[in-house]
Amino acid sequence: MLELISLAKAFPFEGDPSKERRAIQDVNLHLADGDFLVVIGGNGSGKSTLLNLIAGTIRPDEGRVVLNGIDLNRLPERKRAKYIGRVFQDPKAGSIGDFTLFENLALAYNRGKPHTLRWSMTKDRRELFAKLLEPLGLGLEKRLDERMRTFSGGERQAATLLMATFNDPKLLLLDEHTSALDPKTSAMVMDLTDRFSKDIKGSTLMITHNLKDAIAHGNRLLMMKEGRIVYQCEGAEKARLTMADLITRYTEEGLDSLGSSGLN
Amino acid sequence: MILAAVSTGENILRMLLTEPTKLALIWSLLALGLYLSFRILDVADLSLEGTFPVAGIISVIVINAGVNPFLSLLIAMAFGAVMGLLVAALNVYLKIPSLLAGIIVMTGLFSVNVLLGHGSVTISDSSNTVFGWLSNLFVDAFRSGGSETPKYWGNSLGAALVLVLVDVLIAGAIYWFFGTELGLAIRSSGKSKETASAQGVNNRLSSLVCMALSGAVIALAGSLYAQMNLTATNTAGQGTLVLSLAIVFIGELVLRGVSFKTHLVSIFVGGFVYWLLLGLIERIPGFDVNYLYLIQATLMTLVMVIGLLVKKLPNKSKKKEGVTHA
Repeated sequence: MLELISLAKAFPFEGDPSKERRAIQDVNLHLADGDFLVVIGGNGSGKSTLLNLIAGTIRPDEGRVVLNGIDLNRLPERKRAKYIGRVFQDPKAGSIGDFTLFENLALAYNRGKPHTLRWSMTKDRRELFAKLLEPLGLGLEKRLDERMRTFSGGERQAATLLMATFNDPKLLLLDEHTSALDPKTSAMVMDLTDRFSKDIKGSTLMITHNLKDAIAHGNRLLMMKEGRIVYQCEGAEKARLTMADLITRYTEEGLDSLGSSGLN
Repeated sequence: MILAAVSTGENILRMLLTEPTKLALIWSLLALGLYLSFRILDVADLSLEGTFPVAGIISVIVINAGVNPFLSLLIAMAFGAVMGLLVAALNVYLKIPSLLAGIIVMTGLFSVNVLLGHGSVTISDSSNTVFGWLSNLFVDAFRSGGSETPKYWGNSLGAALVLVLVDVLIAGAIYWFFGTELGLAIRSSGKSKETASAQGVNNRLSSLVCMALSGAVIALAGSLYAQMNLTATNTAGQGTLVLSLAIVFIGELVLRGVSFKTHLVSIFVGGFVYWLLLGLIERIPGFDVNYLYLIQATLMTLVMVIGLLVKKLPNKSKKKEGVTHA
């Protein structure tokens, strides 16, 4: 269960530090376990800032990020990793290219646990990882000893997705994780995303630029504009949503962002 | 015929047991220490030029004060670990770039070096080193075997064996450590701090632990070097950075594997190739020892240039491979 309470963040303007760009303004959100929220919005709408505030890459000016009752504001990024699994836009960012798949999985398997002097790549773990990789249908279970650098973008994102689901995350954070992939691979990774979001007990938050994906996936949707939530829907309303609806909303917000910014 | 073969065999053995071999074993260890910071953490740590000689001086001083030579190794290692921690702490807590942090510690150690060493210190009892016990055993064995030069053979064989033992032990321990959960986490920090952080790795702790290990191994090499020479001078650190970097690079050129195990072995291969090269250069008629640093610098440049050229060549074939994969 993720709660965002009156979250706000401003950045100084480049070139004129006396002025501020308000990236996030008074954002409130309640995400229940099992929810799959899709966040859309144009460039500079604040969706990436929102994600970074939750992940702990940046700190908010005001407001709180609470996950399962734990105030995340007090925790640095690495400690939040105990509760949050992440997949990034850049396939190279989620795993270490110089590490083998096995090493990457072993590293992720330890996420949120103390790093001990126990051997990290045991036979038991190898078998476990192979068993978990097999359902991905990419044959990765046979490539445990290959460097991740040699993997394709889709293979890397699929593996990173699996890594993100280790240790029962309370939140799965997906940052445009299919935008660097071709449409076919993107569909494969989205398919896995749906599967994993159901497997984990926590909730899923996905940022996307792809409106088709925004319609087809998740049970909730949220549209951002100039750091505010300008539209959100869920359940049946989300299911009925069409591309045309979204585009209308998009342009409406573009023409009249003040009038609808109260929508929450 | 048989006599000729025996003398050739003896000559080879004599060559293998001479100074360069023992030095190669020590330099490889030093290069291994550098590898921990340079390749695992991706930090160019210059402090080794200070840690290496001071560790030797400390060892000699404590041995002369009656400390067991093996214990002196541990004392030197503890000192090296603290120096490594210091470099890491300057970087992690005071945000001083790691290159500068290394220079700061190295510069500070110059004074410690001079103050403790007063130029040089010598082990008063020449058999009171980590090599002594085994060397003495061998000297006795060679003497009873009827060798004409039992001391030479015994000491050489004893020292070489102790060094091989220490090298194998340290390389093995490092291989084990970097395969543990903590070791894997440290290696991930060195590759990408952002990715490591997202996986819950404490990048600060990684820096501190890895630099401490690096310092300890470098100090161990310094202590062994001093005990082998029976004396520690405050100039022993000069050129050690270029030397150990060259060994790491040569090793990577010769053994171009990807696994951690291959990397570790390559350092020792690099150590031997380096001393083979220097040995050949020293045999050039008219060689002047004063040119040594100049030669080392030239050698280093050559190794780097060759490394870059070699990297460029297979890249083309790799690209082709990539196309067929896609």
